[in-house]
Amino acid sequence: MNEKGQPDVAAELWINAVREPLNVAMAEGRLHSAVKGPITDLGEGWWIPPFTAEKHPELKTVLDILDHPELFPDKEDPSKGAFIGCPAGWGCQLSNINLFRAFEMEKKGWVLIDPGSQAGLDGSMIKANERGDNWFGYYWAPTSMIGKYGMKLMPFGVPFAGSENWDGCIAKAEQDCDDPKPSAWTASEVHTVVTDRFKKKASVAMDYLAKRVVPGSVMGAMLVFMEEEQSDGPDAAAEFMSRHEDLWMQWVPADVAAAVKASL
Amino acid sequence: MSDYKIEIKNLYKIFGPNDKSMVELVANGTGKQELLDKYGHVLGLKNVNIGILANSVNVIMGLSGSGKSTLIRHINRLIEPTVGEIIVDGENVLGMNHEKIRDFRRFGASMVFQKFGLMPHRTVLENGMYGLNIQGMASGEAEKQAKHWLNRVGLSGFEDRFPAQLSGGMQQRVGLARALATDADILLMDEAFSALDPLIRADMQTILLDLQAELHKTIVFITHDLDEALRIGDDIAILRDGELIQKGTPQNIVLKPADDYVADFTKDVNRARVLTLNTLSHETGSKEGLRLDGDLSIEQAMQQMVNSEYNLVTVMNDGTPIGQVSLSDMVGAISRPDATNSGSTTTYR
Amino acid sequence: MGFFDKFPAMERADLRDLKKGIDSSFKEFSRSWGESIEAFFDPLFYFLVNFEKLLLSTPWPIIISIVAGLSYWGSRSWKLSAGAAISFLFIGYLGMWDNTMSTVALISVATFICIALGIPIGVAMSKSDRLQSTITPVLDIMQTIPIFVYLLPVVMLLGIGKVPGLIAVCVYAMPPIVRLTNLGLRLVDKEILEAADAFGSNYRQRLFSVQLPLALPNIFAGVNQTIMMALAMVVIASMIGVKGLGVPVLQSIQNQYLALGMMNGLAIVALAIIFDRVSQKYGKRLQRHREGGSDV
Repeated sequence: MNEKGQPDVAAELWINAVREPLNVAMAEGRLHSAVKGPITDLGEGWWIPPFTAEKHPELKTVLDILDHPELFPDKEDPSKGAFIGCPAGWGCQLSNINLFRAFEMEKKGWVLIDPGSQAGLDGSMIKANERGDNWFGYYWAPTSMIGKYGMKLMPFGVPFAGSENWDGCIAKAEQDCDDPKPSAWTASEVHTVVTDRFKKKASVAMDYLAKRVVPGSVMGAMLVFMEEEQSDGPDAAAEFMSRHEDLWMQWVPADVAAAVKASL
Repeated sequence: MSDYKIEIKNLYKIFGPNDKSMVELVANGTGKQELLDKYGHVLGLKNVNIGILANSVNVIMGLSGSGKSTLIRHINRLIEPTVGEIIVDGENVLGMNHEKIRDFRRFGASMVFQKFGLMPHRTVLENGMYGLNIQGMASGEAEKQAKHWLNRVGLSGFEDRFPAQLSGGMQQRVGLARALATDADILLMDEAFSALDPLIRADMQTILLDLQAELHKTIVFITHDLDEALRIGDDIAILRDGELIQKGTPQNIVLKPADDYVADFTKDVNRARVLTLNTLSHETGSKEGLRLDGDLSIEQAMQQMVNSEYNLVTVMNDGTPIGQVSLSDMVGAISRPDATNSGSTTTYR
Repeated sequence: MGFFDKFPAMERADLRDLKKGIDSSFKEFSRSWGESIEAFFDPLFYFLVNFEKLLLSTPWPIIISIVAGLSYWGSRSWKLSAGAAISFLFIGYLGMWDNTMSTVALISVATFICIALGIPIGVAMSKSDRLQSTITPVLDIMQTIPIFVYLLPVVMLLGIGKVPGLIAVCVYAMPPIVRLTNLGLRLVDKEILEAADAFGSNYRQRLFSVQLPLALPNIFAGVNQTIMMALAMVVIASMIGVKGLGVPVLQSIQNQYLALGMMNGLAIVALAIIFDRVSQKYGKRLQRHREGGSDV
């Protein structure tokens, strides 16, 4: 999109991973943000299943969990706790590795498990939830996985330790991050990004995009719906239109809204 | 008990899915071609009855497709018959269970194959030991025996070679040693020498005859070569299209071919080499002439006569004269096909 | 004409119900049987864990000596043996020792399992045309089904890590050994088999003293291919959390760490070449008789 000017709209661009080139493109006026945060309550972090939270109410923060590796035994070495990180090769892998170091988790009796792929990460979370096993690891929301199992995002128990620590160390490769500090996860910044051409040509659509903000809970529910009903995009869109009239009617002028509703 | 080591009785083999139901058709005269065209079954053997003489070389002869290889494989049941009996030492081979047939193959009858059937991954010695290994003989003893038989067929010093390193003739000697090593009474030889060059084939025949003079095995020898049959056979059976045409001694076959098929077979035979003085001998009362043993072939007798003054032979048997043969008798026997329908020009494929 | 314009597909709702049904029954199955199935694989899992630990805890000079020794034992070639030792020295020097040990552990065990299961299956197939026509399509499926189709169910059942990795590797790597064992046995000269029968061999004698030795060239080709395919699966296995050389490769794909990817990729190639050459030479050595005529 940045290089070729295509497609015209990135409806949900997580910019943490592409901040630098995006900043340049925005400064040069090639790309524009239509709205910041088209979805609310989104973010990455460390999660546990709801039944674990229920059974162990003392686990209120990540720091609490880190004191109890025995609750999350690693199959290969049950004397250690297993922390499921982010798949190899993903940007979040580096952050997880560095946070693992920052919290001195190895010393506290943890191993960082690389699930290898999203299939691995999802599979391990599904297995734990279906079997009722404790599980502690990285994920992000809103997603059908989080929504379906009602996974609990754990507050880290420490504040965000500044973007210098995060962008300058945690988010970098291990060898470029000598002294990571414990920190809450950085706020995920998500924008709807459009090309310059689109902005100039389609101002009506720009208005719509600017207003289009989906609450995280609604998005999560829709994702769960999609998965459970095995439905595809158009199905889910139809379901959304009928379920959340109140929401989408706000996004477009009243006459358009009425016309759309009539066509449903 | 008969003199027969093996009796093959009413043996039918028909290849096809409904072989049993075809027997009656064949017995009632349905021919090979008709069976194939109309019923899609292949006739292998038709009502074969042969007695195999004990301690003799029994040759079964025929052209390809005559069913001779099929027949020999019935004796150790490598091929299951459609109907019939094969009695070996009073027991029907076709009635044996798996266990018994295996023992029969291990101890009762060994086999030599046209293409040798040696195990390429085993050395000459290991090949020689094969049958003994299968018998379960201790390896030390098996090695000793195998070496003995390899020595007997002239392969001492080749024990550690692999078959691929030997000539065809030497390979078949291994095959022969392997078969002899099991000490079975019956030796089944399926075109054993057919794949060899003529000179080597003659060598092998000599080896076989020498061994047989000592061992007196019951040998069933399959061949398509009449010269070979006449040379080594004590008894010859001729098959055509799965049917037994004639059975008898070599002289019998040559002098009295049962039909055109056999006559055609024997047409090019060197009769001087096959016929013996015994077969031509007739009582004259006279005891003149060159005294020669009745087992000599006419060829041998003529050589002797050329070196002597005589043109008449008195045939001796164990030192007593039994009759005479004149030179003209000999010439007549060699030159004149004595078949019942002499002069026929019928030819077979 | 509507019939021809549009494929008479299943109703959307029915299709959805079908898919939902399959999914939920699998989940049900996973809930009720997952633990027993996991327990079934536990011995294998602990063997693999301990084997890997053993490799990792053995001092490197000993490992290299063993590698060189095994290479020599297999190939009787000093060159190959030295090449193997040097490859391992390079691997260690470039910091890939631990990952290489994990991969070697996985590949060795996977190959062993493939052979231990594959050869008997191949033998059974060679005996029965019916079995052959049943198993062949299964092998086709194993080799062509997109890996992710079965990766997720396997992970849901067994979690991430070594055992599912091993299963994924074996699913892909086993077909060649099965196919070539079957083929090799079927290609054994009928005359030689007849000779074995004529001397009264029973099934075992025939199989072990004639058929398998004569089918060795094909069987070894199968072993070879199995090893190669197992190594090719190293990266895929690391996608379900198997440690080893595949992890850095994955990491490098997404992050464009060219050197990292290249080095680990080459380490996999080095392992492949060593395994391949040694197993091939070993296979050839077992078939001295094929060098016919050389010493006459």
